Amino acid sequence: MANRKIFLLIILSLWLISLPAGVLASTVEENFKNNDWCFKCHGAIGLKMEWDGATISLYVDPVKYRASMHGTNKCQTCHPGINTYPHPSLPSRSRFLAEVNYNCRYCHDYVVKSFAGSAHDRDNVYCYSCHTSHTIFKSIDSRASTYRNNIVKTCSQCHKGQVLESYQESFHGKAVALGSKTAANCTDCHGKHNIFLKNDLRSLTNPANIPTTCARCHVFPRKNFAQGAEHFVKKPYGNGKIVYYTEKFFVWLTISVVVLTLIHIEMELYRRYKKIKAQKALMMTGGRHYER
Amino acid sequence: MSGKAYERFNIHHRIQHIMMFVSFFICTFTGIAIKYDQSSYARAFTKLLGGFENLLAVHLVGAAIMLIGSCLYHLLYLIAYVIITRKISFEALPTLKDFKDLYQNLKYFLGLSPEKPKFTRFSYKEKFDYWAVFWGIFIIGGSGLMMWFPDIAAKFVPRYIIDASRAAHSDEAILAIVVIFTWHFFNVHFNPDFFPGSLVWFHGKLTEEQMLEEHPLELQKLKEAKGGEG
Repeated sequence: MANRKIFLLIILSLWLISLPAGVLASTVEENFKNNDWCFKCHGAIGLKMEWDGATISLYVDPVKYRASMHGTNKCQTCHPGINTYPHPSLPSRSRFLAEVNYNCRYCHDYVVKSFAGSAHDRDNVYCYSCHTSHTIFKSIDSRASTYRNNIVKTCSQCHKGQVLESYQESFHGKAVALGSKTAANCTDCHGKHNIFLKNDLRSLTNPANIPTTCARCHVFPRKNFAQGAEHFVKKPYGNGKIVYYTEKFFVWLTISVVVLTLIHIEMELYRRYKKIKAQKALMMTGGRHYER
Repeated sequence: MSGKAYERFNIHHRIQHIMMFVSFFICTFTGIAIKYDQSSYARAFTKLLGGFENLLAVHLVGAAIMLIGSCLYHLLYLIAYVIITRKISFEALPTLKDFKDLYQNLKYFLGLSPEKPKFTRFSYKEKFDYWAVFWGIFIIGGSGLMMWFPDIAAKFVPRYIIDASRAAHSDEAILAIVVIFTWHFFNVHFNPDFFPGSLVWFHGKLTEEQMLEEHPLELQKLKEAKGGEG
């Protein structure tokens, strides 16, 4: 009898262990089915509409979405209440965006804490401004907008001009552009969710914190190593002055040296040409050797 | 080869030159990829080497060969030569004669004078090449070391010097690459006398005819010295 009890207990516990996985699998199945229904319209390439003066795409790539981190979620996880067609009427576009954005915190509450009060904690910056809306991958996945070597592209959606150009010309920028996995990208120095204004003491780029920030990679955090402009302009004024004049000096040195040596070569060739012509005229060239 | 051969470059000179051009090519192929990182060449070459980390490592290996195998070796050789042989030579230093030779050569090229300049052991072209490399190594090697060890460099110089050294490094390198592939390659490869290439870098010898043609004063000096001895 005891054996039978133990046998039953084992069966029962195995069933209990497999229960969540089974339920999850059926939930996922159900979500896929639900999403397929949405994709009947939203999986059509080129589906778009006019909304508050802007033309917005309503197309979501079903294959990419299913492969993404949120692929097993229902569409309604982020777009609650939209269960029927025709869809219930929506508020204005900006309110709709803000509402969808607000839904992120129901699962990702831990991010909210470090993001609060940061430079990006404002009206027109949303989670999906950086993370994309329907193609979210883990940051170690090369398809992710937050992947090491995609960060520059993601940030430069807004941060263009000098800050981008100076980075692309810097050694960090070149290394990252060529696929380096160790060189610093934007977030390595400026932080991820915890980006604050420079004069904020929490900011990684606050003058007081820069040595520690550099020391995340450069193991000898010498104080003077962290001094000086990073995003400098190569112009005859301002913080890139020295670099500008150094470059100008070498450009003109190169031009003058190359021009002078080329003139020398051309003159030598001219002399040889004359000589060969004269010798040919005299029918004196017998072989390879001739007087130079 | 007819007649006597004169040793122009000894084994040390030749090794230094080989080390120099091997590392020059390594650093050129990898350095161009870093300078023009947006080019398709840079993408393809980085992929070929298996990533940026490898590209940079190869560039640094090239730099080490250049600095140790060629430059440090050369400087130590110069010192050791004086100590061991108790002889000192100032043949490589630029003199007033070099400028006169240049003037004479240009006149000769233009057909204004039938006389070619008579060169000593080193012609003004060779002295230019030597001192161009000397200056180039000073700039490229110095700035390269500053970028290789920025932590240490920052101890002695402010940040903008390190940034300027980066500009100097690649710009001086472009100068070196262009001059090597035009001036130096013309003088030792494309020149009809040597095409497809002079092999002096390999065996280090010139025949008596070549000596008479290219370095007549040196030949005269060698013969006089020999005559004096024996």
